[in-house]
Amino acid sequence: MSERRDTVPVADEEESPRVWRRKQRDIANVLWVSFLTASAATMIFFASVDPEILSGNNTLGWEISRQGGYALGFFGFWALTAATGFLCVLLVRTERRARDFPALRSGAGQSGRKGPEDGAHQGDS
Amino acid sequence: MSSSGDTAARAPESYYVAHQKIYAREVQGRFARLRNLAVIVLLGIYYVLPWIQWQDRQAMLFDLPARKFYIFGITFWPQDFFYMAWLLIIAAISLFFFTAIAGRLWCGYACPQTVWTEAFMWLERITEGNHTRRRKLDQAPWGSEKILRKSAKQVLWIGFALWTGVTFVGYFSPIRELFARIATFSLGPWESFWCLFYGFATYGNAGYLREQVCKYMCPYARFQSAMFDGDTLVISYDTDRGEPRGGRKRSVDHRAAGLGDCIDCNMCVQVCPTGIDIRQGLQIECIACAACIDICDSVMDRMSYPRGLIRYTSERALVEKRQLKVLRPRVLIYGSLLAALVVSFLVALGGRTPLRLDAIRDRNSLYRELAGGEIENVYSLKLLNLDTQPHTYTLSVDGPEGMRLELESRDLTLDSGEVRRIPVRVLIPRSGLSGTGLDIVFRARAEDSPALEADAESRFLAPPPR
Repeated sequence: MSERRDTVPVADEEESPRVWRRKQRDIANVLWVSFLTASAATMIFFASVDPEILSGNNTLGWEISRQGGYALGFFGFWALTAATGFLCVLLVRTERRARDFPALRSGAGQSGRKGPEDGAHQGDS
Repeated sequence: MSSSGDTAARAPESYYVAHQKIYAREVQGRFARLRNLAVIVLLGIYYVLPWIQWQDRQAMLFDLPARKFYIFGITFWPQDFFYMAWLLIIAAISLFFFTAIAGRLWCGYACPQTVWTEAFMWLERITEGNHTRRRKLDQAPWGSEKILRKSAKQVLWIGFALWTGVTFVGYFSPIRELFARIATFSLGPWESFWCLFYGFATYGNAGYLREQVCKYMCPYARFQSAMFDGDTLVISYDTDRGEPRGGRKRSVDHRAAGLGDCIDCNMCVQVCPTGIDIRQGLQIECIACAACIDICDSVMDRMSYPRGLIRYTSERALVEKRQLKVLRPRVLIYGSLLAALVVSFLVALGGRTPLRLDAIRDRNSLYRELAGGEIENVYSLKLLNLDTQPHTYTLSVDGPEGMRLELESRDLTLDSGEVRRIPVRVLIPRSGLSGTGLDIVFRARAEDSPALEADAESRFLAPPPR
């Protein structure tokens, strides 16, 4: 377990045409990990809460079956965990770009302060 | 898995290497037999379990719409969530325990990803041939043989994946009725969706993604090193013995020629399902399937060298030439923790009574003084029959002399799974009370089986004595 050498791809006859770009990988990672945590949250939540309390007079007068309640709960959790993941990735990925923003580094005008937000939307390499 | 200092200055943008399809060579040997056994046993359990009946119902059924889990003789209700949480803790500690002893045993032998990938690779082998034929077939232009072999594989894969999906749904919806509905094409939308979804997930993960799931998607692969120590058994190449590697004739005395035991045949690389070279040391991609051990042992046999150039050993044994040490504090602590959790789980499960009683005091009034010199408190009792059959219960209360329990309803027969709120009044004569209150215990007991009883504590309030 000394020095970690670069892994050489073994089956190297053909060049693989499929390279995922970083943004695609970020999206895939966030969706996948948030799916896992949302599944766990759904199980724990609905073990103690019966989704039937969602229907009837308690909330907005919707009529939701139990299965509908489970689905709604799962997608709600997934939206929440995915939002957390995307914000996390956004902060991590834009940190260096925000610091390296040319206007900030050269000190050319204080208008550069709005830079970081712009940097976040620049294209992907 | 440490990084050397010179890379610390600025890490490259990405370590990402584009995926290349791996054609793993088939392997035979001790560990391959063990892995095949695990595949057969685990998949056997998965596909057979929902078909087993237990007292006129499916032995293993997770009825989500009814919020009931049937596991053989026991019915679990949402109130029993505690058991599931406990079971999950046991599973986590088991993972720690086995990982501390022998690394990624889970990954190599028991993970569904590994098990279904093995099954799908077997289907691939019987339709497309061994690894060289598969590679040739992929490179060949489309012709009748390629179409035939590829479509045969797809038929087997899709059929197996669909069967897997339907079996999965069969754990949540009675599988016999499910198959009857499939035969008449009258599957509901939820069931159809989950059958196809789980089937598709199996097809994609075991057929195409394979080792990429372990490399890019699995969180356990990323934090497993935290459970390792220097004595953990890992699959390692014995560098001291093997190097310098190189080809040679069997007749050559390789020691005299200045060579190590590794003949550089590259077999260990060809059999690796994740496509790594174990001779470069432990890598995150290694799922500890031990295929390289099997193949290397067979090569050593052919060369008449001792086995074990690649073997299960620990870092400490390999580098410091120490004895393997399995029993060490970490293993003993995990082991005793695991044993304690399992024993207490079984004890709790054995002593589980399928009856619950809760007592809630009436919030509107503290107490009422009756004309006869009695003090009255009102409670709302909640009785839950968690058993699989109906029972008739009697209610009683423990307290001072002369205490009475009055019920409005005399009928206390509850169906299986029924929850009933029972308003009750408790009356205690003034003479039986010394302070402003006392603890009382309600008790419900099944008339047909006296062992089936549950208690609920509450507080009785009274005016201060005059």
